[in-house]
Amino acid sequence: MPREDVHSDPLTILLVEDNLPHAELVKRGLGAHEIANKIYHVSDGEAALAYLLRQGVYADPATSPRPHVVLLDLRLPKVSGLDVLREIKTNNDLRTIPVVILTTSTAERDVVSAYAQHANSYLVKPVDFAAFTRLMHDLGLYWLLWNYNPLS
Amino acid sequence: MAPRRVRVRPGMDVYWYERDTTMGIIVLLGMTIALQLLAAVSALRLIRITAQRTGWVSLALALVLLALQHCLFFLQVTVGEAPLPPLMSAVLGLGIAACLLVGIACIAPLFVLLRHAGEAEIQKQRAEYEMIFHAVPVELRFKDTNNRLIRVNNTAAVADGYTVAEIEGKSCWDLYPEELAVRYYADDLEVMRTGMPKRHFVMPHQTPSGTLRWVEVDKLPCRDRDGTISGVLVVAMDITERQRAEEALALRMAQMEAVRSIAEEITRELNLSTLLDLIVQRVADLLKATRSVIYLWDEGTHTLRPRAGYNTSAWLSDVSLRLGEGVAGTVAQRRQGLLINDYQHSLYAPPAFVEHDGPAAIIAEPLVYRDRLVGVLVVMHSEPGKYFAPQDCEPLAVLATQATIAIENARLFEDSARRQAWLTTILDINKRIAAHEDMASLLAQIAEEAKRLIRADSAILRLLRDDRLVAVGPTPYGLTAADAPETRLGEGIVGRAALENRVFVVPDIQAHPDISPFQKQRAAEAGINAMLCVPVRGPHHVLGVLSSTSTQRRVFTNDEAMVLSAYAEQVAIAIEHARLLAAEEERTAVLERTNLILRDEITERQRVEAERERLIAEQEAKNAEMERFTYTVSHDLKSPLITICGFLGLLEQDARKGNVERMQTDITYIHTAAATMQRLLDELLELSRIGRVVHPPTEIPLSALAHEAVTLVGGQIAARGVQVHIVPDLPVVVGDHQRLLEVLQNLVDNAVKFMGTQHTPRIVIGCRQAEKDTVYYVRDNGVGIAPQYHEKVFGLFERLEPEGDGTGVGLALVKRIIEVHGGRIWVESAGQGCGSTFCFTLSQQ
Repeated sequence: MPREDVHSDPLTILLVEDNLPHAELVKRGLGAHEIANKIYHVSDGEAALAYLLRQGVYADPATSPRPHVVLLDLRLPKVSGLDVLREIKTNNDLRTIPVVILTTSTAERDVVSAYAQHANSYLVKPVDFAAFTRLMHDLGLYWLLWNYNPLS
Repeated sequence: MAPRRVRVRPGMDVYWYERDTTMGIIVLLGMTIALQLLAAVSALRLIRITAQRTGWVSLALALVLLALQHCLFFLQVTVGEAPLPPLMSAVLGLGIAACLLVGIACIAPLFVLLRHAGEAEIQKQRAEYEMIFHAVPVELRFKDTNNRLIRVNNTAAVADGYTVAEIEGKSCWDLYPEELAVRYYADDLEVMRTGMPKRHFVMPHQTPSGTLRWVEVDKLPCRDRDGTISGVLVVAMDITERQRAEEALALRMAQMEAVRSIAEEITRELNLSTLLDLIVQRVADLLKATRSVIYLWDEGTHTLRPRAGYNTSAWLSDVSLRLGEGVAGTVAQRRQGLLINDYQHSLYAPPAFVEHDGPAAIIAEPLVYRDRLVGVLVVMHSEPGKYFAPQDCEPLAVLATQATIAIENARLFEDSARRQAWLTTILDINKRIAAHEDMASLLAQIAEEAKRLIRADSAILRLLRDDRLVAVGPTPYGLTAADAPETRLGEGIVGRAALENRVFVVPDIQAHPDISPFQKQRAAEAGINAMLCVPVRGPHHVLGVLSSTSTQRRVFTNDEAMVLSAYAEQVAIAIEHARLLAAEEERTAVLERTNLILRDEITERQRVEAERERLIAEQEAKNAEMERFTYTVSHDLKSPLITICGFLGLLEQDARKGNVERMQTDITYIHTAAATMQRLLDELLELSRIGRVVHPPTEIPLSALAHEAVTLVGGQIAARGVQVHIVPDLPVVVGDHQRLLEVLQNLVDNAVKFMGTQHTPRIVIGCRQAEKDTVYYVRDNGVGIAPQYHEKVFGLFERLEPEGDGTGVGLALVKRIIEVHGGRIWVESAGQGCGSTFCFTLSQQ
């Protein structure tokens, strides 16, 4: 049973996605199930790192809260998803944040590289809409209800 | 007075009268006996001294009286058993008294006799003294104060040339030359004045013949009974002989000194012939002789041959003497010096010698070194009347010993010099072998060198070919290698040397049993006497024979055989070396050919390998590109598909809900995604065409091409207000017009697209000359590219701006076209906001 007592705060998700329609799909997918969450979207790797490290426009914790989970696309302009992942997992402060790779790539090379960089999960965007909706639903449930996060 | 009777034995009694009478008789008798004994002793002494008849008579008389006395006494004592009548006693007493008187009378002449005997003794001693006086070899002269000779012994008289009788009583002034007499007398006076003897001084004296002699003199003063000096005794000893001996000794010493200095001189000389000349000259000087010869023993012919002479005639040089022949031969045989002063008539004079020289005297000494005969030294006087003295033998013997040592030294030195020369020659041939000297010329010289090496008259090198020994190089006696007869293996000495692999020393060819009469005849014609053959031994078998011959009757020594063998070994090495060298060269040539072939093969293989690797690399690159392409295509084509499917789903939901506003947005997303997909597919098609669809290359003026490209992008340029400057007179390039146009169009389009917020956007198209290429560029003053993205921008589907409408194919396309044209492309940009310059080169073709 979902433990609603644990997360009084809504789940904070950082979505790193360069493809705007995809970002819209993810947002609507997660939102459709009325899972209490807050999705912060950045569209390239550089911006993602800036957000996590609270640089530039992301300096204010109120508007840019530390995410509970990062949804990370691999193919990103400027800094690639794998580089972002490496940055997170080598940073003492950030490495505890679960990073879920969400990509179109089913290439073995990408999967191996992602896990080698300590990705917490690797999800492939399904082309089928029903599957996509289901994934978003399960993803939301999993991270909001089933997954334990550190209290801080 | 009655006599007392005493029984002596049964039947015999002795009667004694009155004691006084008896005592008287006994005393008388005793005296008589004593006298008689004295007479007898005197007689004996007389006999001993004089041995005269009177002595014997006296003795006999004395003995008769003695006997008579005893008879009377016994008669008186023992007759009868009764006492004698008084008359008888008186007669007896008278008889005894008479005997006494007669005895005394007998003794008296004895004393006379004794006195005579003493005088005879004195006479005898005087005679002895005289004898001694005259016999002593010392001259004795008694002189009186007036310088007269009072008494002279025979020695002195004879020394002065007189008899004793003639000289005694004469004055010295008359006897001796005045000068000497004065000297003598002065000495006499001195002795007489001082009374002291003058001893051991040497004075000259004159012989009767007038020659001078020397005497050692002692002068002693003579005194009277009362002690006054009455004269002088001159004791003189002739020391002339001693002086002579001393002189002879000095002479001998001088001679020995001369010998020593000669010895020193000759032992310094190391050249044998110079040494021998020196010896004969010095020995003749030493013995003051006319001529001298030195013979040396020839071990080969067992004869003595003269090697050096002083004042000798030429004929001597042909002489050779066997042991026991002539003086030299005899001396050599006996190993003992010989002195002959009457040469012509001696046993040792061969007629030839007498005829030629006929020396009057000859002295010879053998030269022997450690029991080995070296030679004989002969010295001669040729003028009649000159002789050698026995004393000459010793210096000659000493000199001979020294000469022997010197000769041996010189021989040793020459030997060592010769060995040195041998060694040098052998080393020389070694060097020449090592220097790869031309073998034919080396072989030609080998025989010549061998000849020089052992001082032979000729030498031939024959090499074994099958079973024949063929001469190599020039051969003596006008024979060339071609017409020198070949020798079969085992035939003759040369053939045997090769077959038996051993050295042959032939002292006399004519006497050797293994040499055929034909060869002997040839040798005789050529005047060859001796031969030395050594095999030339190769590592496995005999390669040939080196033979040398001599026209002289000489024996090649062991040393010479040894050195020729050593030389032959070097020759063998040379030949072997030549053979190996030829084989080596052949092998090298074969190897070189093989090497060449192998090298070609390797080169070819390497070329094929390189080609293969290049192809593999190319293939791998293509594969990698293909993989990357497939990967990106699948990813990027999937993206719009997901968008389309996703929004179609949402559209369906929104349609059911009647959310028209959202429906409109969904449809827009779907359209955009479909268009993106369309463009992606187009560009991918285009990309795949590059390198596959090739337009023929044409000459393209780059300026015109740039203008064309700018025109194509004209809309965007105008919209953004970009100022484009094309550098005039750009070069003409060769390539695919359509593709190069695409390159420029893409680059200009990119530049316009990434102008950012630039207020005065500007693009320059131009070229610059780099080291070996012409670099063409499209420069803008737009957003620029951070250095870390300089490589990435050319990747397929790589986009730096997520919001941009690019597909990420453009620059990948450009890169592909440039690569197909054999050039390369890169971007230069200092970073964000600094503008960027896209540079590319094209192949020179």
